[in-house]
Amino acid sequence: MNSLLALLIVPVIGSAAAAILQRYRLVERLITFLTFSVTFLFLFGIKVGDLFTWHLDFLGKNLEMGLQITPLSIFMLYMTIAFGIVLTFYNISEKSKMKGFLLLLTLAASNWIFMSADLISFFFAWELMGWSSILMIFGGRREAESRQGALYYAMMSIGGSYSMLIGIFLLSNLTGTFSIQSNVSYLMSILSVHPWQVLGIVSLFFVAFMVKSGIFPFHTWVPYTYGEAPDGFVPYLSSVMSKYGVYGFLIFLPLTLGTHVPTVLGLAWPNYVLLWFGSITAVVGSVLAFMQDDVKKLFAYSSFSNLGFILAAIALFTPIGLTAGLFHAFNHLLFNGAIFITVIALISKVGTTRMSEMGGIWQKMPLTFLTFFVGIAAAAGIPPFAGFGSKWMIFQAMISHGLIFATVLLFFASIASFLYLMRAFHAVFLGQLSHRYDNVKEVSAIGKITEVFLLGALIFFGILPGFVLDPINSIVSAFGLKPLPTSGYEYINGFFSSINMVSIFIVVIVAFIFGFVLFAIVAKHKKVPQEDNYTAGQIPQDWNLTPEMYQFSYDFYEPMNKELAPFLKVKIDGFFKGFGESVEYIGGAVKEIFTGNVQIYTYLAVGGLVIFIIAGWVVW
Amino acid sequence: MVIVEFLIKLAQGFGIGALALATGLLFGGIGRKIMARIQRRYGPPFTQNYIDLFKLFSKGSVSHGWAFDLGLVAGFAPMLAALMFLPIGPFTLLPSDSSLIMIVYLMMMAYLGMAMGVLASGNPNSAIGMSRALMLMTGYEVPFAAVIFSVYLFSKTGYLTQIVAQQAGGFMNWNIVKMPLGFLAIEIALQGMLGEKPFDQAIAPAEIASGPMVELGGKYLGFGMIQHSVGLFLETGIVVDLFLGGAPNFWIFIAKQFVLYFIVILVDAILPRLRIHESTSFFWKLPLFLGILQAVIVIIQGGVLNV
Amino acid sequence: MKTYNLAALLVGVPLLMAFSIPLFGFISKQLAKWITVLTLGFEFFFGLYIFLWHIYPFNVIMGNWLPPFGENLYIGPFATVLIILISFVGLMISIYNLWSANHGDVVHFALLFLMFVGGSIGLVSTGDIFNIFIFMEITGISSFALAAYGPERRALGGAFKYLVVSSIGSTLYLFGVLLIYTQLGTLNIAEIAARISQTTSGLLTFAGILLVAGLAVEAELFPFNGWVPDTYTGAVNPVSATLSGIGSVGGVYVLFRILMTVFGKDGNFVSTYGNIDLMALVAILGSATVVIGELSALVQKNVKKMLAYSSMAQMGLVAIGFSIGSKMGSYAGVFQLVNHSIAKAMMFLILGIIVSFGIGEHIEDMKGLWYKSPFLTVTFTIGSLSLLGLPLFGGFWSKFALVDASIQRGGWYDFVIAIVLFASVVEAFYYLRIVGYMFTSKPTSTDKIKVSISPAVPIVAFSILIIAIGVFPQIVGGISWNAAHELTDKMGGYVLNVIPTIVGH
Repeated sequence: MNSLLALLIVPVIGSAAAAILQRYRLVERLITFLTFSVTFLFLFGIKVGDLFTWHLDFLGKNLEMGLQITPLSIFMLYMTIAFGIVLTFYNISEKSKMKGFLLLLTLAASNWIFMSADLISFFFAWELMGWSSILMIFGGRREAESRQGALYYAMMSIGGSYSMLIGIFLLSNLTGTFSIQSNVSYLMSILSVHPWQVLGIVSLFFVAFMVKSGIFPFHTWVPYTYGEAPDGFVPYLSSVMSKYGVYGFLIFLPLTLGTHVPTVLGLAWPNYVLLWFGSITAVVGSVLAFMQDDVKKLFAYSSFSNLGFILAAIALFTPIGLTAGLFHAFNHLLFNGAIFITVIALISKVGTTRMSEMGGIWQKMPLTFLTFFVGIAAAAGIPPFAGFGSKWMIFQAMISHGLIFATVLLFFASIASFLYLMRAFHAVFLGQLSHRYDNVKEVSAIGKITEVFLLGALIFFGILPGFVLDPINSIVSAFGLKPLPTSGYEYINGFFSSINMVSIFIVVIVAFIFGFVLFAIVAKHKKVPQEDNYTAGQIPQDWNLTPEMYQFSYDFYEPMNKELAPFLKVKIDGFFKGFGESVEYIGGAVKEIFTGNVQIYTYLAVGGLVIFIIAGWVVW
Repeated sequence: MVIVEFLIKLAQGFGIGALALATGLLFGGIGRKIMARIQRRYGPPFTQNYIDLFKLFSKGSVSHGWAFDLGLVAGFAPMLAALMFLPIGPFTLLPSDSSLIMIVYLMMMAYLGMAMGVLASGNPNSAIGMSRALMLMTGYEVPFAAVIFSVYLFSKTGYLTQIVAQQAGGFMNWNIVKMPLGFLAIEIALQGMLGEKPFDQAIAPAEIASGPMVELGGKYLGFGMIQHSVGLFLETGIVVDLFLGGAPNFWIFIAKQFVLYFIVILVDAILPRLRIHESTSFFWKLPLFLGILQAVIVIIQGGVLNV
Repeated sequence: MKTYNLAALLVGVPLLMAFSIPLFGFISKQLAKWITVLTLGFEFFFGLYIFLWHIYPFNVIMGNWLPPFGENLYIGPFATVLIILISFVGLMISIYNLWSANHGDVVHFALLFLMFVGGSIGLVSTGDIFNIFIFMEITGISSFALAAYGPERRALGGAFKYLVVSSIGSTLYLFGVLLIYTQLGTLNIAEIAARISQTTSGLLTFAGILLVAGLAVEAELFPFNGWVPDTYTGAVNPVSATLSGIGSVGGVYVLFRILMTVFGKDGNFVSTYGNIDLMALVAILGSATVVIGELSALVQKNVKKMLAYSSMAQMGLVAIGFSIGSKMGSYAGVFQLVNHSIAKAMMFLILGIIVSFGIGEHIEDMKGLWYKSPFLTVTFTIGSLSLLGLPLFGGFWSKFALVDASIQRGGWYDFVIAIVLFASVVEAFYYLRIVGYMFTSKPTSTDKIKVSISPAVPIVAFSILIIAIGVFPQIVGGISWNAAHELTDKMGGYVLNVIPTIVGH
């Protein structure tokens, strides 16, 4: 079987099997996992330049549809399917109401998105991915809320894809073809003549991509949806599905390689605008994240904040910007996956998502705690974990263009990410352990294997980034840019300096060994129970404080609210909701036309006729 | 050969670590003395910090579990690691990796580790302290970043060794002359980084019982002290390398560091503690403005790199 | 001109069988129901035969009187696809009726049903503008009675409203026909079409307005569609399915046969003779219908009523498609018509099963259907997604084509399509909300719904067809393209096939 086709057909077959056997949860989960694995095996059969075309008799034409493999699609395919394997493996032991057959449909759509050579199949796959994920989100932990979350997502995503649909036809009517490649090159050729037209068409596409990636101002659905989606699906949503937008952006970004566009600081101004969208997203996500009390929502904000970083970097479309963006896309997939998998493991054990109700879980789930720790360290960009290199490269890419405001903004977002990461870390894992959680156990063996694997991956790709940077370099050259120099798997070659991650790693390890030795040789310590701590002369029980209450985690960054108050007044979420409400209000008014009174209907019909006749008369 | 080289580096690394620690502790001791004199007290001897550290390491203490232990070690080890990349006078242990951002992020890792340790203790005072420390960080890191980026654009390199090398040849080549606004911004940020008044909300001894340190005793407090001292050395060292042209030898390096620290102490002595949100927003105003202005000047002068 | 007189059976057999059903009813009620199934099965396979062996386009000549002098049936690609559609939907509903129609006057119900379907088939195949009126009356009268069928009181109200509004419609239609007849002295569509430019422009405009107003009642276009919500909600579910899946097809067919073939002025985009462009008028009506239908459906909490409003809105979409006037537009219109009939009929039938198990029609009652019957939930979802134009399902392709056609047309159709797409987002909201209720919530009672074989067959068949069209759009696409050709090229596609000797004016 053709490997390209197999990437679409295998998941569909798996999906059918999973749908039929969905009554038996374990079997269904195993099928899902196996399908992901088998799909991954088929990946080895594909290589750059593979092409598969067929013809579709549609629109009265014999349209050529195609699948093609570019370096970017290979990168994306490997990344997403591999993550899917990890997630579905973890999900074997997971109990949330995730429907495996929908996940597999999403996989088929996802593979198709990355491989499609024409806009029809791209749109087909895009919408397929859309609805299968929407249906998946119904069935979260909280019923009414998950329905709301899914509908919010559905509205934004369908709105976005209609915008793309219009874009597709505006484009295809200009060129008479649906092939992505020829359309993009056509746009490039008319860029100097009709820059506004090109910009308009491309923006229609970008709306869809921005919605999918949760880029400002279309980020508002993300927390609702991630927060309410079934636990087993959230990591996929945030790690994999947000990357479709990135892929989409990269289809059209090469346009700006053409000249004739006014520039800002040496950057084509559409890119400059896009970059600002990315930077604002990063800041908005980070700031809103540290005000959350719901752990899933917190990381939802965090997730799109990182997408902002990615967008800002790829919007530059310089070698280092592109490398940095893609590298961060990979790292984001990895660390966000690790974080979300540990978070859902945690939620399944403690049964709540409210952070102020948790605390001290590290004593009960040490491995999960460690994985989470490394995950957030990577998310914060701490060396030597995955995440440092990409963030650092993003800053270099930005600053080397002299984009000081955007860079400082991004840096602020990066610092703010410390705040929310520590907030989650503290409220969930550190602090006082409530007696409610005395019976909480570490995750099952399957969960442990997953976590150890993720832990290893975070360190491995942190100290040997070359394994990711090599494929990225081939993507960069496929875009016609000069890739960054490479000097071995352990190097991150930035613009201002190159960093040898292995040597950093060794230094840190040696320092740690030294620290432990020092710790061990100096005076001994004894372990005390958690209640036995310094309370400034007061006994908590005297104040009716139970250990649950003797934990500072609610409204952790309250003083910041005052500083950020002017920015929090801008409610984009409120805008969308208000819009929805007014539509519903109008609907209520419109419905009154159909009163159920036959006289009214008659009047309507006759009135309509009279108006027509008068109109005809006037024109006459 | 490799092993021998490694062992030599290892020994040198210990040397640097010990030196930095000694300097940092000494600074701390002198600082206490200066503070006392300003407040018209006699004050402890300037060797007091050495005595304290020795005492702390020899006393028994209580632990709140392995995450507590790990956190404290993790708060100290990356600091030590970061030290290895800092050009101290003419000497850099690992010059090929002396990327500034690397050092900054390793320091952040240390703070993260420290935070993990103190938060694992479960004392709400330490949580309050940590939350304040983090909020303060969103304040001072932003102008700091602006200044760092201006230096990057100005020097067109990210290696501290090269930044130092470019400033060789006398006072007029120092970045403090070329980028005075940046220096001013980073000097203010340094006040926050070191957690001295008016930015000592995280510790706030009389308010939240020393905040993060509330549960630390014995060797744990000792580790905290080491971290603080090495951090002091690192942070002032970075500023010296960035703006004061490094140093031809170790003593001058220390002297320059001390000048910076002396300013910090003086400010600390005369200003009261701000509230946390006031200090955060303070950093977003004047220092950030100065930092960005500096960056803009650098950019206008042709700092943009053609990529 | 090709003739194939055997095809007269397409119209003759169902009407004949309909009137003989009381005889079979004497033998057994079951037999009467089976007769409908068999008759419609015959129709369906005959239709398929015409389609697959590519016998169309042809004429059926009555008694050797060649058109325009005699009465004729013209079965072109458009009629073929609609005959197959009508007979397929009818067949499926009659299979469903084996299970559902079991109280009340079953025999007469079967009679009316068959008459309705037969009338609709006659409607789409006749070549005579007055015969259209006759078939409209046949379908109309049978559908009033059908709509009143059932134990519920609201059925009577709905049927009455339908009766009143529909009567106005057919009267207006008749006036329109009369005006044309006074001008040209012929009732044959082909001849009128060829000679339409000889009429007085003012009178023609007036006639056109009357015709559009009359036909908009059946085509469910605002403001002539007041009957839709009440009638659909009142009628028993198989009847709602019939009205929505078959009745509206006939209405749209006639509307655009008149506008595009009779009144049409060929060009890149078909417009009409007369002082105002009736195509544009219909486009405006269609847009208004879409918006009003979708917005009214949005606030509905009664699922059946929601389906009724959505049905209205979908017909608006179809009308917009045709009114674009290009080949692509008609293609989209035909395609959308097919997809809508299949999906909407299926959804009414599903609702019928749900209701028969004592579950209400309110959206809250749909809670947890997934746990009671995954089969119904999945098929209902398939129907919804197809209507929303999501991929893997038929509706995707028709919506795709519709947007393409509008954007090709450009001009003020850009606004039309923007309105349509906005309304589609609204539509997505309320359909997905139902689906969400079905999927998420745990029901209060977990009694499983056991669907017996005879209602399951049509639902499975519809779902398979929806997915089949979704994966292979060429199933409908090829013939839709031919139908579009028939509509947009009136001389070559229609007139000359009926009267080869005529000269266009």
